[in-house]
Amino acid sequence: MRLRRAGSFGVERASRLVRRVAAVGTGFFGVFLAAGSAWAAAPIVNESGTPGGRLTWVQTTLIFVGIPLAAFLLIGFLVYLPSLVRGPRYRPGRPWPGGTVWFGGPPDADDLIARIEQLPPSTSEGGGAGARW
Amino acid sequence: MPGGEGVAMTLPARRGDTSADDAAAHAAVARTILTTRQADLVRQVLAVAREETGLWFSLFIGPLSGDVRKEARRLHAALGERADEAVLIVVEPVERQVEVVTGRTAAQRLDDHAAGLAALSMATAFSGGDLVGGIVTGIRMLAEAAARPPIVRG
Repeated sequence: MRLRRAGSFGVERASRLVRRVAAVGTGFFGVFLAAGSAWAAAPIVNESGTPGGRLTWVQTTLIFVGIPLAAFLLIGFLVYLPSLVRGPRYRPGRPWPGGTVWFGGPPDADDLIARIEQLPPSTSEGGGAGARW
Repeated sequence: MPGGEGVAMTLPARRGDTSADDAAAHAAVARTILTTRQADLVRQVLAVAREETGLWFSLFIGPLSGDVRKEARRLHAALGERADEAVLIVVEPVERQVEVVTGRTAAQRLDDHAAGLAALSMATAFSGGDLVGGIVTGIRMLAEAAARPPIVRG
């Protein structure tokens, strides 16, 4: 019973591995296959003596502008990704990202916050202290 | 006035969804200031402080217009019947001011020296950009000061 379960788990894992390798492999080698067929379609050596066909201006732009630009954008995206996920955070001196929150406030805290200016002034004698930063 | 602007800016968004589900709206606004995890931590620290001291610890974060201390006392009074035994911490990020307001009963347990020390400690953390760290430390300091018998100062 135990063995059979372990076995079926193993098969499942193996099949998942095979599928994963196949998926990655198709993507990876597909690029070479596509490149190969493109290579084959073009003349082996052109009139200037360099192998392959002449690059059209579209291809040139894609290779020398598109790829660096894509890499630049990708790296930039990866750099900003953590802060995008985290959302705005407090930094002293920067504008407040906005919002008000009251933990342990009265039940109608949201309404009170909306009309803070209309609250009656405090008459209770208590204490307390403050600080600035 | 930057404080007033901040309040005005948050109001239209809040107004729209308060009637539907207060708690959800509150959580949504809280998320813009603190992450869900940070908000949970703050809630937990507040709950522990309440349990340890029997005082009602409350925390307000947001811009206020006018005199921050006065506004903080007004918010404290808005706690209603809880106000007497409440310790309200007000963090004003635009004016960069933190205020601890204690009610009449709470002030007997938590003197102004201890409140001042906690406020100073919070302000130091905030100046380094550590909002949650400052809040958590501040609440713990206040709770600790309120939990022990008062010190006679000469």
